[in-house]
This record gives sequence, structure tokens and C-alpha cells, in this order.
Amino acid sequence: MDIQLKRGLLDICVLKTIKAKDSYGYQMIKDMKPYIEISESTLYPILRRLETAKHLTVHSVEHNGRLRKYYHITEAGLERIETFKKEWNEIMSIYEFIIREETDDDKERIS
Amino acid sequence: MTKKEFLDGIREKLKGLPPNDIDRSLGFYEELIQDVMEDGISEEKAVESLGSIDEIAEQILSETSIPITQKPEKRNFKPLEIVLIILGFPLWLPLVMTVFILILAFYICACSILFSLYAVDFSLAATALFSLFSTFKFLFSGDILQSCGFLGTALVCGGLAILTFLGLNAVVKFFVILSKKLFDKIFKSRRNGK
Repeated sequence: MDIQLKRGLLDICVLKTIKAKDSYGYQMIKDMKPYIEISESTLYPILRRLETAKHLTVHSVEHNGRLRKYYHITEAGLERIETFKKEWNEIMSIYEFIIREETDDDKERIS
Repeated sequence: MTKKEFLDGIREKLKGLPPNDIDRSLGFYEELIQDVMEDGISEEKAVESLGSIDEIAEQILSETSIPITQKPEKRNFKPLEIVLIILGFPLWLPLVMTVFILILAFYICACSILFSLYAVDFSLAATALFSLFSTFKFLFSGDILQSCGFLGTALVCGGLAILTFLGLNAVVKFFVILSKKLFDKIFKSRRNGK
């Protein structure tokens, strides 16, 4: 997949994993893995980026005698998902247009 | 590779980043390893699953917008300066030595003058003491005139001895304070120059 496109998608996927409830790094990777290829080394920079953009916040929770960082989605983060959904509708219509054009061409060629 | 080796490896690669950032990054990976291990995976396998140290360090560095802090450089002499200092030594060495010898000569002179003045002071005191002794000697032998003469000498010499002693002490004190100030100035300017 195109790197730029994947980067944008990963941001949204990460936000999606914490949309319903706060989550932590390893859990987020496990949630995403069936849908998109993500490695541990790519998750960290994404989290940093989203935190800087104020799309999520970090807080520590005690777990088994150690601190685990949980990520919480912000209003801006939720908005980002919504914007993505709207944009995706546009992309889908563009995609349909591309498909249709191909089939039209094919029909022309046949006739 | 153990968790510690892995984290130390990343820390090494991130050198130059602000310490806060390094700690945060390492904290994230440490937590991940611990979470993976909690799933029943061995430490070695858990570390392996994260990928290579180089890969992770590169990812962190490429995503960090914060400029890499530069270590303050020590001011080193440029090669040209070193060459000039070495080549110029026939010029600066005699100059330094001359200044040093002049200061030394000045101190030797000052010390010898003070020493001779103390010697004068000592001889005055000795004269006063002997005169006093003679005063009593002539007084007992009945020569009043001689006795009076020696008493006068004793008083004059004694007075002079005490006065010169006090005066010399004041001069020495002043001298010591002055040289202390001078040395302080020299060392301070050298320290500032460095």
C-alpha cells in the first residue's frame, strides 16, 4: 500500500482502537492487526504524533505492580474520525467513477 | 537478547535527543515487552517481536521534530594557532622569562631592603640596651656625667628602635597586601582569558 495513504489510515485506526474505551499499546496493536499491518516500532511514533496534535491524551494506570500508559481519545480525535468518514465517502465515489469508466471503455471496445 | 540489552541498545542510538524524550520512548517499549511477556511469551521472543534496535531507533528519530541537542563544544586551539605558538616560542619565551625575572628581582630587592632595615632596627635596640647597662655601671661608679650621657643615648636609640620597628611592620603589611592583590589580578585575568 502507498506509504502516505497507509500513514493516514494508521492514524485513524489508532484513534478507532481507543474510541470506545481507553486502551494501551499492546492491546491496540492486537486490535488492529487483523485489519492493517502494524509493527510495534510504527505505533510509538504515531502515538507521539497524535498526542502532539492533541487527538489523544496519555495517563498512567497501575497494572500488576507497574505503570501502564493508557491512551484516551479527545474531542479533536473523535472529530478526526468523523472527517475521515466523510472524506472516505468522497473517495468511494471517486473509486466508483474510476470503475465505471473502465467498464464503459470496455463496452466501447467490444462494440 | 534481554529486555535490558535491547533498551540499552536503543538508548545508545538515541543519544543526542533530550533525556526526557529518550526516557519516554524507552518507557513505551519497556511496557510493550512487559505486556507481551504477560501473554506468556518468553523475554527473548518478546524482544524479538518488536523488531531490530536500528529500525526502532530510526523510526523514533525520523518522527521526532524536536531538534537534536548539540553537546557544547570545548574550545580547542586550531592547528594554525598551535603552529604559531610553537614557532613563536623564541619570541615569547624570553619575554615571559624577562617578566618573571623582573618580578623576582623586585621581590629580592624589596626583601633585602627590609632585611637591612630590620638589622638597623636590631642594632638600635642593642645599642639602647648596652647604653642602659652602661648608664647603671657609671652611676654606681659615681661618674654621673657619663651616666647621663649613656642614659640619653639609651633613650634616643630605644625610641628610634621602637619607632622603626612599628614603621617597618606597617611597611611589610602593606607590601604583603599589595603583592596579594597583584597575584589575584594576574590569576583572575588568566581565568577570564580562558
